[in-house]
Amino acid sequence: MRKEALVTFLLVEDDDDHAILAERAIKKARIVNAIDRVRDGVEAMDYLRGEGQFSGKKLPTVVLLDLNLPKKSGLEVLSEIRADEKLRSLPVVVLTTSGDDKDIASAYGYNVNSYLKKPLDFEQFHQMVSDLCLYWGVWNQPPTTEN
Amino acid sequence: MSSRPMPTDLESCEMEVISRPEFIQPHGVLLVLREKTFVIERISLNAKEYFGLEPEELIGRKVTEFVSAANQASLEDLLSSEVVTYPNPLNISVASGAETCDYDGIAHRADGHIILELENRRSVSFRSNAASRGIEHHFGLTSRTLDLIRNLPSIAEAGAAVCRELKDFTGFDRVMLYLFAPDNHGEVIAEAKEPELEPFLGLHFPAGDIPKNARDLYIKNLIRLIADVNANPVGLYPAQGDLDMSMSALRAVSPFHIKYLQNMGVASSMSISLVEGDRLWGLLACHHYQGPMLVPCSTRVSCVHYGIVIASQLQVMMRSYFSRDLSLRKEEISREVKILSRSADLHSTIETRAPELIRLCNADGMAFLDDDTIFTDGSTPSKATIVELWKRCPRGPDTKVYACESIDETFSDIDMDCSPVAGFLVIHCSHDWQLMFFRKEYLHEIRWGGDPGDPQAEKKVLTPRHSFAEWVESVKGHCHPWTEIDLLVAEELRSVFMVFVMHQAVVLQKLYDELREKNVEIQQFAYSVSHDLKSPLVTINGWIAALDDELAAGNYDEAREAFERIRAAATRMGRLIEDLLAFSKIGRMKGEIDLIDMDELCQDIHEEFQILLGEKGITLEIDGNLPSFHGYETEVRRAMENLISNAIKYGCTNDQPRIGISGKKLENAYRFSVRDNGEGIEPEYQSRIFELFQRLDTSHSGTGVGLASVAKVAQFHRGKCGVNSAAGQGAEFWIEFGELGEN
Repeated sequence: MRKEALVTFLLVEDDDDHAILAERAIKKARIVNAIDRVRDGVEAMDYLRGEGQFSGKKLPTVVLLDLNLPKKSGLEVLSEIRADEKLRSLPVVVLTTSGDDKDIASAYGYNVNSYLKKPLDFEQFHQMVSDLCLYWGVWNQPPTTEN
Repeated sequence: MSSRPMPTDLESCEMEVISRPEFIQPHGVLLVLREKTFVIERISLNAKEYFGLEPEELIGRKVTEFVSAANQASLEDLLSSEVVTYPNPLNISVASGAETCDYDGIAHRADGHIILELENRRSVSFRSNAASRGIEHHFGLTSRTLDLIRNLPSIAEAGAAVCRELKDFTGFDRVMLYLFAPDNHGEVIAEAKEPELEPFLGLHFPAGDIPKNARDLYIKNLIRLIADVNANPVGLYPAQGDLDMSMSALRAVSPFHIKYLQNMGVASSMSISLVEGDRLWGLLACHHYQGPMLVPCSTRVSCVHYGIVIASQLQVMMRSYFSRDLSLRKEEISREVKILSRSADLHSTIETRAPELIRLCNADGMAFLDDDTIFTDGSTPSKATIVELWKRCPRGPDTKVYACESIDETFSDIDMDCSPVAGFLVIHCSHDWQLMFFRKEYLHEIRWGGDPGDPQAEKKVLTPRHSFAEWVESVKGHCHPWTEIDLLVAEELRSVFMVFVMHQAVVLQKLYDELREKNVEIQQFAYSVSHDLKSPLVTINGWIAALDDELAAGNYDEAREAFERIRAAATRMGRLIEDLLAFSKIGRMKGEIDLIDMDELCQDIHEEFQILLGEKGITLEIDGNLPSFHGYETEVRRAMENLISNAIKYGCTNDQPRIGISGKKLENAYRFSVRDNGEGIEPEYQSRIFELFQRLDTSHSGTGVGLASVAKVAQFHRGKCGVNSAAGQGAEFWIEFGELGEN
């Protein structure tokens, strides 16, 4: 069991519907204390580095990252996180509709922690999100990060 | 009178010192005189016929003793002069008893002695006696011949005229012009003869017919008369001696040569050497069959001069014929090269031009190897042998053309049947492209002087036929040598092929690039189906579940919202599918190239967007006189629509949104711009926005296909597109259409 702490997710998703539905599913699991959502790759990096409008933000427990994003793609965001001294050990889970082999290979190439493909069936989606919350919010032991 | 011993075998022929035979022909007398005193040291055994005394009675006496008183002083003066060869013939009157007889004296120096030969002039009734007919006759012969041959178009015709003139002048039954090849075998290239005689024109004679020692003498002494083939040679007194007779007019003939002439039925012969530098390149050979020909010295002198002048004239002509032939051939090459280089399909052109190509290379056949197919024309070996030869022949960066004159000799380690060819030439073009030319065996093309296959000839010892066997052996399995011009032709052909091969490589590369582009496009499509098309489905499914929840909880307002979102997602999905389909059609349903009136086209689009523009309060300004150009109208319209719709969606954040359309003709393209006064686009995102499904702003209803379509339309019009913008400065999207021309 992880140490008692707030569980926060950062959801990087450009599609409003997807974002709302994901948030609903996450909330339903009743594990995550707070969800923040950003719409593109640039915002995601700003958030993680606490820059601009996100000044003072703490690092999330885990980042749920879509791949096809405006301005800066999910893979670019991932590579920047892994190249950043302060962010490199942050757990990142790709959550996307793409099951493309190249995307999967690239994501693992950048040491993604997990790669999840959104199922079309919403029951399954719910199950997946609920397991995800349990795994990353309860069972997983994240590194201690100083903020 | 003694007679010469007769050699019996051919081997001794080359060994024989023919310049020192110690015998003379019997139609004159030869005296060896001591310098200054003119004392007779040796004399031919027929001396009595001329001096009325036996040789032994003459030895030790001054020759001038026997010359008529009037002639003595002038003869002594003449013989004292320091020359090698005297101005022959000398007029010498010999007083023998009461009789005085005039002779042609021929004197020269050799071995530290003066050699004086006397030929009977009185008894000679020769038709072209230059002495009796005057020097004008000699000049007449030379100048008339020069006039005759000057404008003749070939060496054969010029040679024929020379032979006719010389035959007429000397009265011989046959006069031939021999030309010696680099291997010294001779060919009769011109002839004049009595009508009843068998022609020798075109016959080849083996090099052995004129051995090296004989050839050396022909170069030293430019004329050689064998007055009577059947006459018995006469020895010298005293017999012991070793006299250099190479410049002697009366020098006895090698018994081999006598046999040779007798076998040909020749009674008398005379040869005039055609020499350039130290090379005997030809002979004017005269044969007489009816009997001896006592050609007087003065006539022979005329013939020597004739030979010198004619030799140089013929050489000049041969050189000019050669360069004329070379330039003709070069013209032919360039003509053929033009035909080949213009052809779109070199393979079939090579096949149809094969006979011309073969002729250009003076070959008998050719083969064209392309990867695994072999085309052949004319005389070639079997295809298996062709491949084997090609594999065996050397190649490398410096071996662009390889020529082989004898397959048997060069590739003696392999046992293959090359018939009917003996040699070949390969033009290496590319790894899998080769052109080969073949030549038949040299031997097969030659008409021999005499029949080498005649079994009777085999039995005749000391006939010229024996030397054939040796010669035939040396050229067996050889083709005509590939000359410098042949190689030049080959190089020319190669350069044409190289251009073609490279052009083909370029075409292939282009096809490959296009294919690769298509492949990338298809992959993009597949990716979009797996991601972007699925995205609204995920949404719809998600909201359906939410709708279920809300209805169960009795939250009708939330249910209503879920329902609206489902409808929106479904609509978006439909639009996405339509956009993708339209995108995929760009460049595939091109239609006709038309002259597009851009003023009209932009006005149409303006009207189309009228309502939308009105709703958003956007001003659209279109410049007048937009340039018209040739293109695919449907696609150009789509591109312009997309650019304007893009500007309406993303470029109208200003309070007073304005869009401007302009266009201009560039050097090789037409450029149209759509300007807005919105937020602009930061430089780092500018390159991505023309990619499929790349959107900077997902708050609008775009599908991410519009600008990708613009890029694709530009590409199909050999143009390009782009954006000029900076943050907060508005954006100018531009597209360039290349010159397509009409069709």
